[in-house]
Amino acid sequence: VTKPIAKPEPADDWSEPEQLVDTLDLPLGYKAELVEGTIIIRPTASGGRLSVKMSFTRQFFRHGWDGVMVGLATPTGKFVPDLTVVDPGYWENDPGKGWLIPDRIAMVMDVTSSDALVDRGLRRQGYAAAGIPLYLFVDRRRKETVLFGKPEDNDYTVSVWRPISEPIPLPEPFSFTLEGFTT
Amino acid sequence: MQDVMERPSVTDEQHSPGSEEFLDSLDLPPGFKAELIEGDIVVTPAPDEEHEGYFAGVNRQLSARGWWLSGTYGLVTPLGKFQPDLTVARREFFARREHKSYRSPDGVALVVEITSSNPSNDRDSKRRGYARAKIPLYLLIDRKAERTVLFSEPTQGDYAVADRQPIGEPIPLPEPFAFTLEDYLA
Repeated sequence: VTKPIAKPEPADDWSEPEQLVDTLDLPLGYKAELVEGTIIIRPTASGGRLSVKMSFTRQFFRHGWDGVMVGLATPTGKFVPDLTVVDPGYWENDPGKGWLIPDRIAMVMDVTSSDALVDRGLRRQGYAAAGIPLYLFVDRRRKETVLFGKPEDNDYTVSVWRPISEPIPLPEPFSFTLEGFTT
Repeated sequence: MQDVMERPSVTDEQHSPGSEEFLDSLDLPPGFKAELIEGDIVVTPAPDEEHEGYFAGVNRQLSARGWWLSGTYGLVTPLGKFQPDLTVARREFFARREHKSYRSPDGVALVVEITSSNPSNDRDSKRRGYARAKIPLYLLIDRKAERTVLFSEPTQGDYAVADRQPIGEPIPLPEPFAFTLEDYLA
């Protein structure tokens, strides 16, 4: 007698985007994000974009910071930044699985060339609304970096534009200077 | 003769062939639709009642004047694979057989988008995509902004003309329609 395989009952209403974003079966190298009720699926960093991301990741490691890719639940959406920077003690208070509440994140970074979400500011506003103190946006298309700081309400109040190759001084708690990206 | 080599652009990660294949294989609950918009796969949930009310209201008036239309037609544009809320054309357009899930927009007379919770793509990427596909008319029913915009005269990268009306007001449609959409919410 073959036992019927119990099909797990859906835990919740899977017709809602909030549930679907967690249950989508994505191929390797893709991430799903949720903004304004719409799920956006895009490739994670590869090629030149990954090269830029790793260049910055190595520098954070050298200065004692951890850089990881995790999902963040912000007030305006669920985002997966290319890099989320935390101090190594972050992991002792296990944040658990799934979308993290970004209350102890030191900084996030996205490397992109033309990300519609970035262009419209939705991603940046989500990070700011979550109170993430710093957001580094590396724009490969315009060959520049933008460091956003001092989040208030739903956006950052300070932004510093630099050519992509120029060093980026980081404020407290980092107090070191990121070397710019050179090809 | 010199072969022109396309240099890989910095937007390479947006056009990985994987995204297109993945779009077709995506397993979604009923009512959800998936589109490829400027390299992102965008998944939109099933529309609400008001959305369908606008759909039905516009549909009814166009059908009554001999136009054929679809609510699930997939169109290939220079900026992605879109599925307009309404694709309006002559009968001959729908008689074509390309045997693909997303097809050429040649022959489409009008596309209509009715915004949902996230109007950004309808307002921006899809507008530019439809213009670059040379679709002569794009009607945006923007519920969040409470207005309608009729875009016309597609040029190189965008529509040259945008006629705005408060939502619910009559929308005069130019040739080849030459009638006014009225009372289009159920």
